[in-house]
Amino acid sequence: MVNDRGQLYTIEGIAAGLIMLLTAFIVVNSTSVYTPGDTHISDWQLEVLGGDALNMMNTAPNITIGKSPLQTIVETDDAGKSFQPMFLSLINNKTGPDRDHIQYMANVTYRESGGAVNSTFLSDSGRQLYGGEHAVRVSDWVIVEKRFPDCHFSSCSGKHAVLVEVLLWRD
Amino acid sequence: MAGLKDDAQWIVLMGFIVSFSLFFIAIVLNQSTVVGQTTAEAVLEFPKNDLREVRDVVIQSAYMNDEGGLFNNKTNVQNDIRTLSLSRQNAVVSFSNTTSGSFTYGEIHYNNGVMAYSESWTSH
Amino acid sequence: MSIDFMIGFTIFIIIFIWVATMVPSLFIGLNAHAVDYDAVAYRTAVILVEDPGAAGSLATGPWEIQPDPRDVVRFGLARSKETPLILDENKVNRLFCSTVFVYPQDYQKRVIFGDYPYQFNISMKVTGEDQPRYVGDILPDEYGYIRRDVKIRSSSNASINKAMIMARGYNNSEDAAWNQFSILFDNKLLLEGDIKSPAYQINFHNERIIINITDIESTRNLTQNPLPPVGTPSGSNLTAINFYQRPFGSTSLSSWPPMKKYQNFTFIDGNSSADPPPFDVRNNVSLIFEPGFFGTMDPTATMFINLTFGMNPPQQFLNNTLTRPFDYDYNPVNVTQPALRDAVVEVAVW
Repeated sequence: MVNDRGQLYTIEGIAAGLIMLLTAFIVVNSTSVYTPGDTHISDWQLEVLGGDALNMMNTAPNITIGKSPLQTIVETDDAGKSFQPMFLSLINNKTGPDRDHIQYMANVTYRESGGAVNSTFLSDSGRQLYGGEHAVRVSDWVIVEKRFPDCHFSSCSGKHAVLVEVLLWRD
Repeated sequence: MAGLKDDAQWIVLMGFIVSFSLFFIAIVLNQSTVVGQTTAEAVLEFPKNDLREVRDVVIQSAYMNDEGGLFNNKTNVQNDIRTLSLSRQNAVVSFSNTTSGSFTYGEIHYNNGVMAYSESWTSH
Repeated sequence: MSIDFMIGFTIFIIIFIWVATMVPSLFIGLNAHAVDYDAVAYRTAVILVEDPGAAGSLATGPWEIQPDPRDVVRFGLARSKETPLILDENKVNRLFCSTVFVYPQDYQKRVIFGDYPYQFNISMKVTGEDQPRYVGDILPDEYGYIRRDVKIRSSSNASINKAMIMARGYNNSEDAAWNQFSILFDNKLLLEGDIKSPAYQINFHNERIIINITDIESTRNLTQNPLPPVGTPSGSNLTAINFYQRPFGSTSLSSWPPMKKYQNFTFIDGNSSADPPPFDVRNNVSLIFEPGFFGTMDPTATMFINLTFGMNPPQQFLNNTLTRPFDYDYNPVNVTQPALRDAVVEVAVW
């Protein structure tokens, strides 16, 4: 027995299925899916942590010492190579036994006597920043007593406020 | 087609119901991501750390002096703060300070386009 | 039931199941709670490390010295609101003291906040300490998280030893029946001097002060008055410890009695328990003033602490009435200054 009545349920079923599939695809395409790794949350955590770490390096351990470790490092252009171990232990230490894997690159930005702004390299973690990694920038002010390369007069020696800028990214 | 009966239309109806609920869930969840997204962006955009640091260094500079014009410590540091804030932190920082007797007081204005902050401070 | 219905319904169900299985993968990672948890963890960490906390309006003194948990409104570990990230040792010890505060409700009301009863884990590792301190549950698989770098400020303390006694002439060369030794806290110098940052300031109103006086035997003249054998009275009796305050700008001293609850602050000859005087003192005296001890004094006054020793027979002993009081100040020779140690704080919320 062949007539078109037999197609009724089949047609409706296919129609309903198509509608659902279509909706699903529209939803997939319209919701931009943020995973916690994609959102700015990890950026913000990194920025807070980096700011803390710089702040702690710019704090003297007691009043008798007076100068903070960061001041000494900037004034000596990190001659003692102490920035790297200190900063890495600050940003990577956790309360548990494992460690984080944050890399960094630090610059010192200062104002030249002519008024132009210049940056010099301070320290890095030995890892290059490739295009794929997403880096955040944190900075901290330090008042240092230092003569910068462009300075040839006593009026520009003495104390300066410089910005220590650090790029941070997760490995 | 005239012979078709509408016995089976409930299947299409169920298809519609499922589609609508899918849309609804998607919208609700999308909104909640936006909430998290804005929280994260708010923390990132509000320059709490920058502001706190610049305030700290401005107040430090207020207690400095120019050592009789030999080194111009105070002038240099304060110019450094203004120049570097503008070029590296995109913020206009202006400040002034006065010392009279044992008291030092001053004003700080900070504006980076997202937020503006003004403060009058006094040493205790 | 026709074949037609079977086919149509089967198609519908199969596609429905297909779409239904797509839904979770559609929203994978799009976990709204995780986003909220991160924000709550951040807020909790900010309250902990950037805020000094608050005690109830009826309580006197900061929150960390309140014996009753109900007088604590908000936990905050910062030494002061001007010094975020510089934490106070006493506040840290108090926060992780699980005998006073009940986990989790006491913590949820005072540091996590919010209507939803968030579970949490707050942990802290101080550089140089073996074990991390923590309060909270074991971490689940997914949680909101933040980590902060901080410094912990330990209190100052002073040690008066043989070398200092000899160098400063803290031994009276006359034979006296009463010997007095005084210690001076100059509030004006401590709080309004050159050192402005609360991170380094010695503020004896809200920090623990420890004064150790050792090698007291060396102040005696042992050839004239040999020390009696151990177990018998040594002939030097710490009869009283008196407190005098001198208001700023005034020249007169007035007696200041410590609060009753703080009267056990004196440890003698290495004893592990403190008692009020008098005692027989052979060699060591330790004075430990808990935070809040000086809470009732005039905040701008200078404080003198006088130790009176009764001697039998009269002889020379620890005495600085002829020189000058021992200054509890910013001189590193006198006082071991407050030190800042690195620590890391982690907050996890779920």
